[in-house]
Formats: sequence, structure tokens, C-alpha cells
Amino acid sequence: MWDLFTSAESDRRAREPLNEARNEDLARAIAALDADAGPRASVRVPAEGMRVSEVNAAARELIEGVFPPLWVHGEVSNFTKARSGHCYFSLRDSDAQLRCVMWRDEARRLPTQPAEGMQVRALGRLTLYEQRGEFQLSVSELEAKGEGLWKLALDRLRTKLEGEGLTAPARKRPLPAHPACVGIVTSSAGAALRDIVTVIRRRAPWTRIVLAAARVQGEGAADEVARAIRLMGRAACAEVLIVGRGGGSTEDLWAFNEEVVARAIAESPVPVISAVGHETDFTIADLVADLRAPTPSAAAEAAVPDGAAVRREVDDLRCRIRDCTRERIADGREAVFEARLELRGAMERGLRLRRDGVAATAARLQALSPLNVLSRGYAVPLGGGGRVLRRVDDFAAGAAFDLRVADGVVPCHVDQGS
Amino acid sequence: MTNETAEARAEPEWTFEAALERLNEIAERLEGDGMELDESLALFEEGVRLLRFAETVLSGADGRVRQLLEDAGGGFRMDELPEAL
Repeated sequence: MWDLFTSAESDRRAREPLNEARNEDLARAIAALDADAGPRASVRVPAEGMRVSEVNAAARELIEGVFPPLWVHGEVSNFTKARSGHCYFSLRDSDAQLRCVMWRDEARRLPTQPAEGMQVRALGRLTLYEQRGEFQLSVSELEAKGEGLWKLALDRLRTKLEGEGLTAPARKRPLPAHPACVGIVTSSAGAALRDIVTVIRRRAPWTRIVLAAARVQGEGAADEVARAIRLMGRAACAEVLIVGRGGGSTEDLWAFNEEVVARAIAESPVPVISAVGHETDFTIADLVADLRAPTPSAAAEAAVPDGAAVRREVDDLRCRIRDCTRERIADGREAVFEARLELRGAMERGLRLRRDGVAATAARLQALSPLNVLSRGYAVPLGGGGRVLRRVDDFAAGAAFDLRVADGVVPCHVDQGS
Repeated sequence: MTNETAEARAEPEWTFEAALERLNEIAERLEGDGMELDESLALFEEGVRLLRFAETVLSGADGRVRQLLEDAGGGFRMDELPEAL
């Protein structure tokens, strides 16, 4: 229908995506066409004229046929995201603007919406929206200068989380010194898992290791990571969590910069160690985690104690407890020995006192004894049955009686003739 | 109740962390003054039990990695991870 750029060279160019240099070539080629006013592209127009839809369809075909996918640089203006997920905005420079649309599937890959006036470049195809007759760029990729968009997304989320206090140092929980079980949230196929398991087995081989696997990059990775963290929380088997992955590009690590992951970490019932990428990579997960480890291996070192040190600690406790108890038992023995000595002394003292008392009583009894009187020369006559004979009548003629004197008894008879 | 059943009953209640903490406490109390001998002997016995527990833990090398999986009903189960690590 039309014949623009019919040479083989132009054809090849038209079909391939152009880099910036090619864009310039293209501009030159178009300018050259204008300048030499040679045969222009033309559309065969019927004599009776065209209907609007025919014009727009032809124009669209022309535009899409001529322009390959291309990068367009400019400033973002009026970026809006429709409820459908499609995004609409303009790119402009000082002299002109270009309507742009980014369909939902492409827009979903944007880390955040670009700010008004942000310098960006967009990769897209020029087309014409036939219903409205609007010329527009259908954008498949949108990049800010450097890591502009990523950084913008990061800054926005960071500000939000800081505002809620989720990154506050006071929120950081201490890690358990001797966890019996460590939970890991990472890809089951990644090097990070291998590194972490290796370190834990070397340092504290008795530690139980539980993995909740999640894809850590690509579409939906952030949701999977957040879900795995929550699952760990519900299972309540691990006393500390390591959440992370090995190194990669900013885009690869992006799941760890997303809000769902940050919130899952903040809500974890046990402390979380983040271990994303390499030493130089900082993510939102790092800000919210209770501890940021520079690498997965370092996270494992932080999670479990050094086995040799723990063994020393247990040995030390054993010695302390044993020695103390020995000492106490020795002290106890000594106390028993002393108590025995004391008891014996007390008993001896008691006995002596009692003995002395008995002697004194005996002396007093002695003083009162009638035997004392006898020793002075008196004698007592005792009749039958030991009865004392006190009167003359008590002595019948010829009767026998005993005479008790100081040192014994003398048998006697009363005289017959009296 | 024999010692063995006491241990069997005590062990599941202890974590390694809690056992070490208690052992430290026992050592400190034994090192302190003013305790009756029978009290210190009871502490010693408890200490020996906990030391035995700690050593059982330290000598265990699990080696396996378990994988936590979500069930359809929102529950979860634990599987052995194939030993490719």
C-alpha cells in the first residue's frame, strides 16, 4: 500500500530493536527523506475519500510499520495508574510531549511509580489508538536514570516503615544464645541454603534446621518469602529465623525490598536475621530484621554459637558445681566432727556435776544418821523383828535380844534371876 | 519415683538454653554462702541431671534438614529434605 524504506538495509533496521545510535540513524534517514523531497511515502487514497476509521487504521499501520521498538528519553508527566492496573503518562522535553501507555502486565514489574518530572527512558512501540485517533507510545520498560526508580521505591517504603516505627532500634530483639532449632527462609535450590547449613553443622552440629522454601526472585517471589516467614511463625519450631538469598542484581534482590516481606519480618514471633546478597547490598528487609548479616554464612554464624566455646562453658559449669559441692560436703563433715566433740564435752560436764551432787547429798545424809550416835558409845537393844526395846517391861527374863553398837551387833540374854 | 523417671519427665521441659541458664544459677548459688547442706545436695543432684541433658544435646549431631510445608487447610507438615546438601 505504501513504500517507505524499501531498501534491504532499511528493512533490517525496521525490524530490529534500535539502540540509541540507531535512533539517531533513523532520525537522519527521515530528515534526509524530507530534505531531498524525493518520492514520499504515500497511501493510495480512493477518489471518493476515506472514512475516519479507515484513516486511523491506515495511519496506525503506517506508524507501526515504520518505527521499530525504540527507547525514548524524557521527563515523566501526569503518571496515573488506572484501577485496571494500566498506567498512563506523558513523556516530554522542552518542546513536545508524547502520550504513553504501559499495560498492566508490564506495569506490574515497576518497583514504584515514577515521580512527576523524573528523567526516564522508556522502551516501547509507537502506535495509534484508533478509537480516539491518539498517537502514543506503548511502553514495555521504563527506567529512571541509574537505579532511580528502585531507589525511589526503596525511599518511599523506608519512609513509610520508619513512620510506623518498624525500623526502630528499640524494636530489635536479642537472638537466643543457644537455639535448638534454626529456621531458614530461602530458595531450596540456592547457594545460600547450602552455605547456611554448612556453617551451622560446622559450629553447632546438634542444631535442628528447618527450611521453609520460597522462590527468592522473579514474579511473586516477595509473596512467597512473606508466606514462608509466616508459616515458620505458625509452626513455632524455630527459635530464630534466617531470611535471605545469595548475591544478585538489584532486580534479583528486589523481593527483599517489598512491603509484604518487611511486614512478615516485623510480625515474626521469633527474631529474624536478614542475609540478602553481599556485604554491600542493603535492603528493606535488613532495616526491619532484628539483625542484618552481610551474607548468608555470616547469618548462620550469628544464629548459632561456636560449639567448642559451648563445650568449654558446660565443662566449666561441671567443675564449678562439682568443686562447690565437694567443699560443702567437706565443710559438713568438719561440722559434724566438731559437733560430736562438743556433745561429748557437754555430756562429761553433766556427769561430773551429777557425781559431785551425789557426794554432797551423801555427806548430808551421813550427818543425820543414827549410826553417828552409836559411834559416840551408845547402843540400841533390838528385839524380835528389829523392834527397839525402850523400857524394862520390854525385857522378859531369859529373853534373847540384839545389841546394836557402832561396828555391829552383839547377841545378848536377859538374866534369869532378876 | 526413681531417678530415671524423674529425668525422663524433666527432659522434654528443658531447652538447652534454659538448662544452661539454670546450671549457671545453680553454680552461683552453690558458690554463695548460707545454704543448708541438704539444700546444696539437692541443687547438686539437679545440676548433674542438667549437665547430663546438656551433654546429650551436645553429642547429638542431627545432620538432617527438615522442610516445612504448608497443607491445603492452612496447617503444615514437616518433611525430610532429600539429602542433596
